[in-house]
Amino acid sequence: MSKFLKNTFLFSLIVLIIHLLFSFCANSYIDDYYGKLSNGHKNSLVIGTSRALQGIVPSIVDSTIGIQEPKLYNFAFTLSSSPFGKVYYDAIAKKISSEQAGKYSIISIDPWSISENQFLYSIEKLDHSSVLFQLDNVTSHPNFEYLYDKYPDGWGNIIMKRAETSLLIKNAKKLNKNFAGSFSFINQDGYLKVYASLDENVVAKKTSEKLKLYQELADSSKVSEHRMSFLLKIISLLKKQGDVYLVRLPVHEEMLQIEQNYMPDFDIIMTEAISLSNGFYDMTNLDHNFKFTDGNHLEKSSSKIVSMKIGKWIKTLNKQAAFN
Amino acid sequence: MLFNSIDFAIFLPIVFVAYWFLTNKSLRSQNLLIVAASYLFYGWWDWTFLLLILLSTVVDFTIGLKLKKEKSPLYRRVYLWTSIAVNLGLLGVFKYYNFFIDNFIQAFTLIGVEFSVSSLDLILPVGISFYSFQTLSYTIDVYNKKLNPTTDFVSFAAFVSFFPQLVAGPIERATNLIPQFLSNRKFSYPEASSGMRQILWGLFKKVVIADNCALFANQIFDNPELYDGSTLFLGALFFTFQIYCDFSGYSDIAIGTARLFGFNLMKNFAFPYFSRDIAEFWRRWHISLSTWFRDYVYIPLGGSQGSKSKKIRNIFIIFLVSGFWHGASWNFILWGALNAFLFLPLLLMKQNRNNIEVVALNRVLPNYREFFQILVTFSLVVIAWIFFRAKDLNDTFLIINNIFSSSFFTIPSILTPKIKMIYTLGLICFLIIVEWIHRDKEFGLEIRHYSKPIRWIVYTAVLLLIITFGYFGESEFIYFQF
Repeated sequence: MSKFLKNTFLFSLIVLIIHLLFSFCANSYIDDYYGKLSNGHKNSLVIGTSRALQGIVPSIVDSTIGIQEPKLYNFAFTLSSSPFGKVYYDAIAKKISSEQAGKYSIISIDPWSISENQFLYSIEKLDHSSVLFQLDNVTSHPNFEYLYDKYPDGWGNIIMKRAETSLLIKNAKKLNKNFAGSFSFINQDGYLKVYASLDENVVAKKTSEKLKLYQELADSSKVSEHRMSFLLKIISLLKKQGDVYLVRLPVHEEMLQIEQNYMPDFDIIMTEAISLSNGFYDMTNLDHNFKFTDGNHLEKSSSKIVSMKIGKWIKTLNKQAAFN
Repeated sequence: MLFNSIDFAIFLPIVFVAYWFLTNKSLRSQNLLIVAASYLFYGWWDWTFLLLILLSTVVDFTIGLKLKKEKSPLYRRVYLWTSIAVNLGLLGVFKYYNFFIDNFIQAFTLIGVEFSVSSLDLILPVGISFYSFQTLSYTIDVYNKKLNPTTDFVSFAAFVSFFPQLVAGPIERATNLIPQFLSNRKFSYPEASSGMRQILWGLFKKVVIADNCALFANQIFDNPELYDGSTLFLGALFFTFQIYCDFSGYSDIAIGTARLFGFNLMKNFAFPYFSRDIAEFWRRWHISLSTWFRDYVYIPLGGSQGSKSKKIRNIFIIFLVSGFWHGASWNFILWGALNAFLFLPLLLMKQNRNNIEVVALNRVLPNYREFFQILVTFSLVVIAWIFFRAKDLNDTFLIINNIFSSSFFTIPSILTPKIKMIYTLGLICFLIIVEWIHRDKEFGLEIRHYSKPIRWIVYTAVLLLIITFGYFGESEFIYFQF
C-alpha cells in the first residue's frame, strides 16, 4: 500500500507541476480580459465599457499629466460585462487595495451603461452574462479561477491562442490594408489594442451594423435607476482612492444622433454624478476628425489623441484647483 | 457525479482511504461504505432517483430469498415474473412510455381514429437500463439455480449500486460480482496500479478524443443539410471515435476504479475497431450487454440451433431488442436491424466464428487480407453509427444519400476551429497506434511489462496530452442517456 500511495503522490505531483508550468503560459494575449484580471491590485482606474476599453490609453493620460506612480490602469470591459451594477462594483472593490493609495480615476459614461432593456439586456440577464460574474479573484497571476471557468478546453487552447496572437502582432505591419478581420490584446496598462481593418468599405459595413443594433437598443431601453445608483456608488468608492473624473467619449456622428434622440437630457440625468465627481468632460462635440473602427469604438490612433486631451484637461483642472 | 469532474476527483480518494484504512477490519463495514458511497455518487444527480434503486434492490433481494424457499414451479415462476415486471416496468415507464404513446397515436391517426393520451413529462433516471439488467440477471440466475441467493442485504445492495459501474456498466453478472462482495478483499499493488493505468487511459479517451470529436460530430449532425457527402462521412468518422472513446473510456475508468477497491469487473470492450467482420465486432463491442442478451434472450430462444427461419428470427430479435435497449426511437431500432442484416449472412454461412483470435497476433502489422477485412468492417460500422447518431430518420437518409453520391469525392469542408480539427485527427491516429500495439492486452495502456522509466515516461506523456488537449467542462457520457 505504501508503494502505491507513494507512486500516486508522485503522479499527483507531476499533474500539479504540469498545471503550474502551463498556467504561466496564460497572458494578456489569450483574450481581451485575462490580462486585466491577473495583474495585481490597481488603485487608479479607468472605468467603463468597451468604448473606454478601446478609447482611453492610461499610459498616455499619465504621461500627459506627468504622473509616474501610481500608474493609471484601464479596468473597463464591455457593455455586456461592465455596465454600472453590482457585479462591476464588486469587481472594482476587489481590484483596489486598501493598503495602497491611488491618484485619480476616470469613469467613461454614456447612455447605454446607465440603461436597462427588458428584451436585449435586462439587468439580471446582463449581470449574469458578465465575465466578472461570480469571479472572486481579479488580481492574481495565474488566475486559476478565471482560467478554470473560461477555459474548459485544457491548456492547449490557451497556448495556441497566445501563439496565434503573438504571430499576428509580429506580422501586424505586413497586414494588407484590406485585411477584413481583427485581433486584439491587452496592453500593460490595461488598454485593449485592436488591430482592425480601416478599409472604407469594411468600416462602413461595421458602422452600419452597429448603428442598426444601437437603434434597436434605443427603441427598447430606458434609464435604469439601479445602474444610476451603482454609478454613484462606484464614484464614491473610487473617491476614497483619489480624484474621480467623468468623461463622455467621442462617437460617430450618427451614433451620437441616436444617443441624443434616445436620451436628450443625458447631462441632466447625470447631474448628481457630475456634482459628486471632480469634473465632467463631454468629448462628443469636439471639433476633431476622429477615426472609428465601427462607429462606436475609437481607432487606436484616435484613442491616443483622446487620451492626450483627457490628460491635458485633468492637468488644467489640477492647476485650477491648486490656484484656487 | 461524473468521472471526469472535480467532484469525483475529491470523492474517489476519500472513499479509497476510508475503505482501506478505516473499514478494512470488517467486510460488512467495507460493504456498507460502498453502499453509502454509491448512494452519494448516484444521488449527486438527483436524490429522488435513489428510491428507484432502493425499490429494485428490495424487490430482487426479497424475491431471491423466496425463490430459494419456494418449491412450487408455478409460484417460482410468479416470483420471477414479478421481478421482471418491476424492473422492466420501471424501465418501460421512464424510458418507453412516451415512445409507445406517440406511436400509437400516430398509427391510429393514419387509419382515421383520433384519440388523445397525454405524454408524461419524465426525466429518465441515469443508468436505469444498466442496473435494471444487472438485478434481473440475479433473479434469473437464482431462478435457474445457477446461483444461491444471498442472505446479506448489504452485500446485495452493494452489488446493485456499486458506484464504478452503476450508471453505464459493465453490466455485471451476479455470479461474478456477488461472491466478491461476500469475500475478504486484500489490497494488491499490481492490481491497483493497473487500475490507475486503466483510469488514466479511460480519461484520455473520454476528455481528449471523445470530447474533441464531439465538437465536430455535433457540428455536422446538427445541420447535415449544410454539408456534402465527404464532410458528412467525416462527421460519421468523428462520431465513430467519439462513441467508442466515450463509452469504452467510461468502462476503463469503471473497471480501473473497481480494481482500486479489490474488485474485478468484466471486460466491456476488446478493441472492436480492429475487427475483421461484424460478428467479431459484436464480440468485442459492449461485451457485457451482448453476452447478457446472448445468455438471457438469445439462448433461451434457441440461439443458433434449429431451423434457418428460427435462426433468422432469433438474430433479428436480439439485435432489435439491443437497438431498442439503447433508446426509444426508430433510429435505434433501424440501427439494430441493420446490424442484424450485416450479421445474418455470416451466421447462415457458418462464418460467424472465423475470427476469434486477436488480429495479427505476434505480428507488427496485419497482412493485406486482414487489413482489407478491417477496413470493410470499420466502414460498415461507421455507416451503421449514422443511424445511431442522426436526429431522426429524415436526417439519417439525407446523410446516407449524400454519402452515397458524387459529393463523397469532393474535399471535405474545413470545420472550425481548424487547428482543433487538425490536432484531433492527430490524436485519433495516436489512439489507433497505442491500441493496435496493445490489442492483445486487457486495455490500451496495459504496459506493466515495460520497464519502470518507460512506464513513467508514458504516464507523463499521456498526462500531458490530457492536460493540454482535454476538455474539462461539463460533459456527460453518451451512454448515461441509455
